[in-house]
Amino acid sequence: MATPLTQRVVYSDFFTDLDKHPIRSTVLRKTNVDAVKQSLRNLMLTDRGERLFQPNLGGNIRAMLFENITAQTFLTMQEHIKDVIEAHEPRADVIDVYIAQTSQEHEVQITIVFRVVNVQEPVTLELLLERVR
Amino acid sequence: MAGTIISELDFNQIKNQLKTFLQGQAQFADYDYDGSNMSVILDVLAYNTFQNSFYTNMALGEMFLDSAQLRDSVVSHAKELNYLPRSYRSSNAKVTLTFTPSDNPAFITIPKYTKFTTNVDGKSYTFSTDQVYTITPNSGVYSVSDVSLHEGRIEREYYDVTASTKYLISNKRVDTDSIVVNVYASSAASAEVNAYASKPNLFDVGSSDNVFYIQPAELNRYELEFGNDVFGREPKTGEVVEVIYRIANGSTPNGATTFSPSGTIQGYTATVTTTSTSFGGAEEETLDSIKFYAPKSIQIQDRAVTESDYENLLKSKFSEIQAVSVQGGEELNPPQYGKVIVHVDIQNSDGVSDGAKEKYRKFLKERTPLAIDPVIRSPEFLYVALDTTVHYNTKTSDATNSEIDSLVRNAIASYNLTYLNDFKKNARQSRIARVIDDTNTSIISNDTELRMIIDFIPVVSSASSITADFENSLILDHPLTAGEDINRHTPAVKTSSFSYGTQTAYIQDNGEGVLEVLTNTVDGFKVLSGNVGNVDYATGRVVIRDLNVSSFSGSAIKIYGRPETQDIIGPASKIISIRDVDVSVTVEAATQ
Repeated sequence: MATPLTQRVVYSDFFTDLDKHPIRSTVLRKTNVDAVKQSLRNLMLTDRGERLFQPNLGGNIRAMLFENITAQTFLTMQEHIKDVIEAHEPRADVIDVYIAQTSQEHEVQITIVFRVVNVQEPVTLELLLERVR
Repeated sequence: MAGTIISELDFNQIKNQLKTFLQGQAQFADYDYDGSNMSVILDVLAYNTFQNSFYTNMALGEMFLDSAQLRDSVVSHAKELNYLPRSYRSSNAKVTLTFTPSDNPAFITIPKYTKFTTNVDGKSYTFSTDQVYTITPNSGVYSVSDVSLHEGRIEREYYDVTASTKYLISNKRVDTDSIVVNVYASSAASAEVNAYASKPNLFDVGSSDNVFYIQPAELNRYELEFGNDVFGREPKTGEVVEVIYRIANGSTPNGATTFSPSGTIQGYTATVTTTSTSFGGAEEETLDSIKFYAPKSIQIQDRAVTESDYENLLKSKFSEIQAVSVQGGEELNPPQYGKVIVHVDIQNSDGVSDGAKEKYRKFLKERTPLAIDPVIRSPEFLYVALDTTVHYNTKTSDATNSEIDSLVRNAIASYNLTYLNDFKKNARQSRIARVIDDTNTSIISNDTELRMIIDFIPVVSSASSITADFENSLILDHPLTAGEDINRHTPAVKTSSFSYGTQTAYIQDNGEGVLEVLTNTVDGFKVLSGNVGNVDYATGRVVIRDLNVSSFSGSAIKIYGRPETQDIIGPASKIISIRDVDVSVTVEAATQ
């Protein structure tokens, strides 16, 4: 019987901070759903033009830093997010993208609900964009 | 990365090659997904490889003369081939100076670097002499002709000689032909001074000869090198080297016609008459030119032996030369053994001044075999008279007759500039006809005829002769007989009209090789002179002897030659060209 995807390592990537295993000292891996979530997070936090020779790659969210928080801005962000996932992350089928202002002002909550290809359960990725000072 | 071949220069292809490499391991599998951290690392690696590839490509490109882009690289390669790229060149004019001193001195001296000013296109330029002229009176007249004036500001630089001194000339616009070097024994005012001469190579240079060599240097500059006490004397520590040179403005001062001395010369006022307008000024040699001539210079070894040697040497040395044609004296008629005839065409000039001829001859003489004597000649011109009748369809064009006429004339002028106007070019009727047809889509056909023209400028009211050699076979018509309708005779040779005595006349051949002076009367043609020369139909050689012309219109009498074929072959000694005035266009409208 074939090993289910949830147990087999299909997708694997290293941590963004290149964290190492505390005992073996090898580079730690993020695998399967976690790897896809990390990839989505990277795409969201990448601005267009940031990556070399790939001018259209990125959710371009940071570029909207100085936009007014309106429904129209949220719609634009939603479109950007859906477009970039569709174009650059074939492993994720987006179910929905929610963008909302939190009760504390100066924060935007992005929730991406998606399904990893060949995995039944939906996955939720939450990103909180907040001011740092 | 053992086993991975990076063979591409493109970023994406490099990245793909890295991905291919990663397919050999299973530890990290997300290299294919743009959002992964793995992909970010691959971007950095690919970009780094891309930059290295680009840098290596550019650096390697600079290593070869063919692909080098930077001037320093091209010049350095040329240096390896013993080729000195041409520097800026001063424009050069010839003038005659006349003085009318009231105190009648025994002589008047015009010092070296005496300044003159002129104006070209509203901008002022300074010219100066490059040698001393001493004028002694001749029948009370103080005059000197052929005074050579060179454009540019005179600059002096001094170098204290040490073991490590580099004699780098500061100004990029130096005319290297103007460099004068003096070496002072010390910095004291009374120090002994020795003049050093420029040498292009090591031939005939002794260990104590006072010589210097010019080398191209980095950043578009030139430097001087001295001998090493084997090939030329090496200046010693404590001596002072003085370098005097002109800073030229290139081609912009060309065409200056009037010159004024900057003040009096030795206290006397000079009257300046220009005998040759300024020409020959040029910018530094272009990279393309260096790439072209440097390999050829090593081929010819600075020696003029073959035809192309003469051409390459002259064109690379003298920027003003537009075209060169070389003939061995044995090819001439009559042969001149031991001579090489060099026809030189100068830009924007109809001839070559005697001074320039002597300059070119001297330059070549130093490079020809011992028994060869180069003879510089102005170019001769073989003009083409073009008569064309153009038929165009009025249904397919709104153009008027005059517009078609103008288009055709422009096309012919363009053809002349592109394919003719040089030595050894051929004017082919079929090609010209095609150019005319292609001028406009409405042109259906054309009927074009070519004839040859050589200009004859006789001395008015004096016996004048000319040998006009078309060097193309001429077509022969039947012998002209008395009482015949002159219009039914198609002569091989005919001239434009001129005044002969009191009558308007022209010359044409009689179909039997004899040239006659004819005039047209109401009763037909009349022979005014039965034999003023002859024509050789096979060689195209026309000789007019002792023709006494009362007057003629225009700048010359045109001698027309009708070629046997409609392809006019350009002789080696002649520039073949179509002048606007020799083009006749008839436009006929057609409806089908």
